[in-house]
Amino acid sequence: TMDRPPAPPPPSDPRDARPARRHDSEAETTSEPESSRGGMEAPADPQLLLNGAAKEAGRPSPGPPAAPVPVIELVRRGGSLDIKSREAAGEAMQRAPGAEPCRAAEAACEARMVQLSPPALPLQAPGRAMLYNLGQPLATINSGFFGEPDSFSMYGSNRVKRRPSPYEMEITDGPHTKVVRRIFTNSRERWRQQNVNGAFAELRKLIPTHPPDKKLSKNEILRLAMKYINFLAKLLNDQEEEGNQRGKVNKDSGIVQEDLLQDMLSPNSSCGSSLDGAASPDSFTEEHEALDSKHTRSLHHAILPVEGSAQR
Amino acid sequence: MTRKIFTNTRERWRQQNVNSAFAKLRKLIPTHPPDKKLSKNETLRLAMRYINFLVKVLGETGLQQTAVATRGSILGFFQQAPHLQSMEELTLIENCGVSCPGMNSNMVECW
Repeated sequence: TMDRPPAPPPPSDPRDARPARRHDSEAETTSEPESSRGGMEAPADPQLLLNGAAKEAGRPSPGPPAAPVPVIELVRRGGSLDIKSREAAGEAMQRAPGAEPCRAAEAACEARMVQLSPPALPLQAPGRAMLYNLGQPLATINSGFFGEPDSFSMYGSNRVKRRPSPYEMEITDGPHTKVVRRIFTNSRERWRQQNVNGAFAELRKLIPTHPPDKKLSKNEILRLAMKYINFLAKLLNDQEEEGNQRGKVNKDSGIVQEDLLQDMLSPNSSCGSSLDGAASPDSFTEEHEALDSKHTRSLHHAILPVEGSAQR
Repeated sequence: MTRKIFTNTRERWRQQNVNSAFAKLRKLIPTHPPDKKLSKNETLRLAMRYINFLVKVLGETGLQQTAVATRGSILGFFQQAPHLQSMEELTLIENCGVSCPGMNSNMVECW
């Protein structure tokens, strides 16, 4: 059957627990709808200054959205993990980013991510719903969880994706069912949040700042990452142009650096409009200029009409 | 009680800011399909990979330009410290072991 293809045995690496957290809740679908729509703009970017001064509230954000088939498959594999092992994995991962070099962490992460994000996935929402329905007969053992398929999107996310192991069935039976379940959910949520924070920390390491260990809020990390990516992409694009037009007098190649500085100083409204939905899907399997030329071409368009809202 | 409401509202507004920043960052990350939904964790880690990839592709030039940009406070809202050498700015990047100038043949595999 399609729903449960055999999966490779999970490595003893604590990162094996990582895929489990990817779809702990589907709530993010409601909180991040903008990410799939174009033209999403921040409500008021000048507020970013406040973020630099204020502390991040750090409210736990909703978890990752429901994932396609293979992710669920991996979760099912890891579904028999009890709370303790999952927390231990979370703690191990919390230590890992500091102990390991970024490269190794990233390599493992890359391997996992490649596994989790297959390129051509035919399954969309209907497929996912089908999977939930398949999981239902098993999950109905925990009675009261699953009223109807609609409930999956709201409540079921924490339970539907995991077929209850015999261990979990034991602990969820009896008079203390609700308490145990809540504790379990809290632990998993905390573990998942630690994962996200770890990812933030690792991304922070990649962003050049002065001084290098300067504390950045989550908001800052995100926006600086954006600027840095744009910066590198533009740099690469101009580098390519320079190579292509050797001998030909070109304004851009002559003042590459100034263009870059201008780009960085200008408000990053290009972030919202530069990459439309058609941005080079297979940019990294083919020549890299394809991505960056398209990327920075839009950047150029965005730079000239400097919009009023400054990102700073 | 009003204070609680105020706090909640501010919290929500702040969280919305963060989420919108996530969305913007998501738009910069090339995926297939381009509008594929990424979780927060995924966007962060894919952004890391993408940055590493770009730096690798650029090679030495990228590091130099990055140092220049950092020192000139171009990349962000940092306090200026004009007379520092570029190696200090590069320290952060080099610690991650990202720089691999001249690895052009391995570019595709790195990603």
